[in-house]
Amino acid sequence: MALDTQALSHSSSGKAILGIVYDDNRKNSAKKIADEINSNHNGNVGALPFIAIAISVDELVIRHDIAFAYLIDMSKSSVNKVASWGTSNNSPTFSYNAQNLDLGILGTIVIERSTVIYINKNVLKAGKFRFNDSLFQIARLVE
Amino acid sequence: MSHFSNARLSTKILMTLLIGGSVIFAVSTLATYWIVRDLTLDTQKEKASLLIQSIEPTIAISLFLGIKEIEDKVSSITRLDEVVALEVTDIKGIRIFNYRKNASSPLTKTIKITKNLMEPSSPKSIGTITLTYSGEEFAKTMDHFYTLYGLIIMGAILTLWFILIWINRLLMPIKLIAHKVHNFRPGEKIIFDIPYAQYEFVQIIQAFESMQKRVWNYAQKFQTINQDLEIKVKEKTHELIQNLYHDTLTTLSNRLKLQEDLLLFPNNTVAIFNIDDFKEVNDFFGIDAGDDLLAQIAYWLSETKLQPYRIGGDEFAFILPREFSREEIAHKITTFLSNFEERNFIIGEETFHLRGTVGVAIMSRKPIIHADIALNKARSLKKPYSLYDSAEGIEDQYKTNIAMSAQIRQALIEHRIVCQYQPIVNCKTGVTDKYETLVRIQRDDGTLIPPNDFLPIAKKTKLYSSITQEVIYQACHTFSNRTEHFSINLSNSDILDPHTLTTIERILKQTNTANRIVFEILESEGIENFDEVALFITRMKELGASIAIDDFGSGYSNFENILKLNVDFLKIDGSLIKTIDQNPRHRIVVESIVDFAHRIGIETIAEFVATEDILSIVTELGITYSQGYHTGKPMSL
Repeated sequence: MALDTQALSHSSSGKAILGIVYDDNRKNSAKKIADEINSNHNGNVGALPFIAIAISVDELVIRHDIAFAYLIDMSKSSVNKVASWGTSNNSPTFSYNAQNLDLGILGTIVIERSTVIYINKNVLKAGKFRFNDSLFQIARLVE
Repeated sequence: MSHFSNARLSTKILMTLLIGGSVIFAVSTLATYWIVRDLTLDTQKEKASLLIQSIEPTIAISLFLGIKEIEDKVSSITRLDEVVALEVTDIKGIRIFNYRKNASSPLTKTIKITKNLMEPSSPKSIGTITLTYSGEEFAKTMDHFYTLYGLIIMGAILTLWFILIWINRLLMPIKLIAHKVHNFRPGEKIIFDIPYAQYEFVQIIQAFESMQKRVWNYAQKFQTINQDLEIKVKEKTHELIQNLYHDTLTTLSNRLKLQEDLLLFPNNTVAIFNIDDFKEVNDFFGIDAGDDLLAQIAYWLSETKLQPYRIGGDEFAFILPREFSREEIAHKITTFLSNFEERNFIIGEETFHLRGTVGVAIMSRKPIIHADIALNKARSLKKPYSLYDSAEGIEDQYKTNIAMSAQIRQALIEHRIVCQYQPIVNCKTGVTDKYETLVRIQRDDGTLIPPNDFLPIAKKTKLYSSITQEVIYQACHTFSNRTEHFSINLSNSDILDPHTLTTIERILKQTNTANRIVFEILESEGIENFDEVALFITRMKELGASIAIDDFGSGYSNFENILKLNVDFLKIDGSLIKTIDQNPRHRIVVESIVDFAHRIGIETIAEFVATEDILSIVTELGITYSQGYHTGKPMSL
């Protein structure tokens, strides 16, 4: 999220909002992750002030201030909704599950021998995302 | 190439080093140049590539995402001085970004690198990026390279110069040795004081010194030999001079010394003294006795206070005082001869009384020749002495004889020896049965030289046999086509010459005239060389030829010899015939000859029949043939 050069443009509060997206009954899990992030980063990642919140798919798709959405495990239909939202809202969407890239999610972080960021090239081109160039130096663009 | 072959050794070594070094230097320089140039260029290209690589992903992503504002993305390299230009185009060739540095010099070499921009995670090209990189660094590197090699070349030239000096210094001993050896002369000793020398030069010097030692030894030997030779040459020269100028028998000075002494004055008075009949002493008592006698005469001459020279076998000469008058000379010579005749010379137990003849040339430019002429004159006149008189023209006669000799020789070469034939008429029938061949020399103007003018000279110059052979050739060929007999005169020298006889036989056989030829021989010559003449007559008669005795009755005729020689004709001497009509004594002699001839069965020929009266008498006397102007003059046939 810190590499998104438009992260602050989504919100007027001066903070970028990181949404931990869930569906069904996984709110607690999402909230727990958001709290953990907030707790670890103390409101800033790099020079970017942010706040992590748990947000459901349905709420997400109606909001425009969310700068970055991170999807926890959810149904395909939810994933599709989030993907559509991300593209249309120019907000990067990342998922724990790499298979969600096929459903239109922008990126995923896979922890293999090292941590690897995969970015869906088509989604990237379809959306009007603006990332710092360093992202492309560490990420792998896939179709 | 031959210049190089003859060049100095130092030059050759230097040239070899120069050529070898140049080749190595050029090759290494070229290789280094290529390496440095390519390496530098590659480095610059690599740099340019790295620069592109540093922005390529970003530009590719931007191009992929359709972001056209990429200036900030390339600013990291466009701000570099080395980047002259940067251009980004999309797949359609549309220029997305174009950067060009204004300060770049158009003359500066640049490096342009172009790369395709690929779609992320795809081999698909989405555009190109072209970076124009400054070549200044490359140019600087190459300039450094050129400077470095310029310095290296200068260093190499300097090194070669030092090598040249060093080579010259190394070879200096050779020059010094050569100079010393070049000026070497046998007998001298070369000291090879070479200031420094390597082992090789020491060897050369040792070799030269060894050779010099041997040359020195040889020179010493040759010097000794030369000294000995010089002594011997001096001795021999003295001996030769002694022999050259002195007579070994009498130790008197010889003709050569006389000739040289006469050169002191242009005119000299010389007397030549000849011992009369000295040949008889040699013939009678032997040559040793003759030599002993000559030695005694020489000793006696030396005692007379004259300065005698021995100039011939029995001839001595004196140089008389130049101031003597003819009368004084005549008196001195008379006294000298008188003393000589009174002198007794003794050989063994025999006492010899000798006589001498003297010829004197007074104040003559050619005193020896003139004294000799005078001597011959005195001997021919049977006088004890004679003084040369140029008015007598004897020298002119000599010149005439020389000229005639040359004329005969030329006539033989130019075939101007011609024959005329005088008829010999049968007294009874009046028919010309025979001809006598008479030789002439035809001058250039066609006139003829009579035989008396040239035959005596021909006999003295040994041209006579050539004339005889020419006459026989012409006569035989002339009469080979005729029927008459013909006669040819032969001299003693002809008969005694084997070559002439062979020629006669050959021509007779060739012309088939042997049975008609008559050889006329003088009676006197037949007596002098009886055996040889008899043999000749036998050989000719075997061929069929006839023999006539010419001028019979002119001297002391010997009838016995005529009988022995078996001749066919007697030609009665003309001196008896030409006055036979006036001199009864001649008629008596001729009658005796004819009578003798008739008795032994040979025919007679009368010469000089000049008148009808003479012809009548010779016919009346029974002479077989007559020859003379009355019966026929010599003519060509």
